[in-house]
Amino acid sequence: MSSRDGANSGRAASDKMKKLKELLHKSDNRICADCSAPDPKWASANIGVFICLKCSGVHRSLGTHVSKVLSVTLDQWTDDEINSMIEVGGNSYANAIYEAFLPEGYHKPHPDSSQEERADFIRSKYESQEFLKPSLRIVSSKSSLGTTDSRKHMDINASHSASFNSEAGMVEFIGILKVKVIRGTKLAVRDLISSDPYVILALGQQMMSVHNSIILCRKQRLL
Amino acid sequence: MGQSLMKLFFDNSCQKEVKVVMLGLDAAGKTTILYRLHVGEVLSTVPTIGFNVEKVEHKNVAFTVWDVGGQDKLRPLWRQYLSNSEALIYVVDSMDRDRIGVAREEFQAIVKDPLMLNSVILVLANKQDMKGAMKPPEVGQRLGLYDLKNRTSRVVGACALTGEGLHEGLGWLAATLKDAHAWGSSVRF
Repeated sequence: MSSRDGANSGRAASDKMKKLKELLHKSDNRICADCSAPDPKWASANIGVFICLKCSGVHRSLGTHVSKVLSVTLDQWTDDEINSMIEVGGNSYANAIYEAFLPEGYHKPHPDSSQEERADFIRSKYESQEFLKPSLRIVSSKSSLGTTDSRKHMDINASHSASFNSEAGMVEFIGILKVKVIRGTKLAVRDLISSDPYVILALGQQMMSVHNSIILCRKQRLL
Repeated sequence: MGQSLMKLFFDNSCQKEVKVVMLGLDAAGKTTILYRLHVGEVLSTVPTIGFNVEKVEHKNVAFTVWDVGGQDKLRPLWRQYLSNSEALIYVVDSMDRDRIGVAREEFQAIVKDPLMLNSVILVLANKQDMKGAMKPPEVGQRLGLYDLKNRTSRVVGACALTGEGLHEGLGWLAATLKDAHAWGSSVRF
């Protein structure tokens, strides 16, 4: 039940808000997750980071399907939104994921960075997820580079067969494998153009992707 | 005949000034729309804590547009901006299906406010550039716009980034308000 419903939940809601503020006051959350500006008062509830006002402007421009921006002081939070922040555990945990593969020597934006610099970084970090652990990335099939990356990962056991480049060769038919996708958890948050999660199955050289068959699982958390 | 002459006279002789209040949930795109109309460019914005106000001229009408922050705890302040507003521009994030119910509640409260009973209503179904966005008729229906009785209203699909729909919306407001002036309704100069 969301904290917006009913007066009875008022007290529970304020307890929850207390928890959120406790989380906000942890040392790693005293600076913006994206530009390190002090005293952030905004947050992306689905990503689980505390951010400053300027960065929240960029987050909002990505759309709520990428980042759902709320103010710690000016917004009513639902229990789900607070729980998801607590579950992530704050900026250092979130950045350990979203900035896991930040290239060496990469300069993150600082509190006085231009809005363009800030926007470039935030888009790379959350929208195209360039610094994420490859295994957690869900990349749009429209991005050929990304697809190759994820294939490499998914198909790691089959890499020895890369020498058999020609797919025209005879393949012995040994049977049909039926796979039913029931549920997806711990999904990376989204991809760029379409927002339907999908599964790639690889067996030896054969590979297929299952599109449009999974109910949107956006609410499933990354962690 | 007399009326159309009057209208012609008003159309050409004096620029009308109109106060417009622009409301909607946080992150709907109100500030981006305001500056897109005012300077013709997409500025990078931050959440509005308070309000922005700018003059926008369109078809010989000078709109003074008040863009008021939409965060939860700012919404009770909306009422302070309503008096003397001849039109309401209500901006909706057409991608945000999760909160269309909240958008409806806030919309209904505003249009039924005694201060707004004579105002013209323009709904901008923003973010139409995004795949999967609700179409304007769906936005109108979900807001309960079509159930309002005796109100002059319209819903227009818009995209603040490209400017799509914004001039169409303002053009409709200008024409509607000019008609209201010419017909001597309660709208004042």
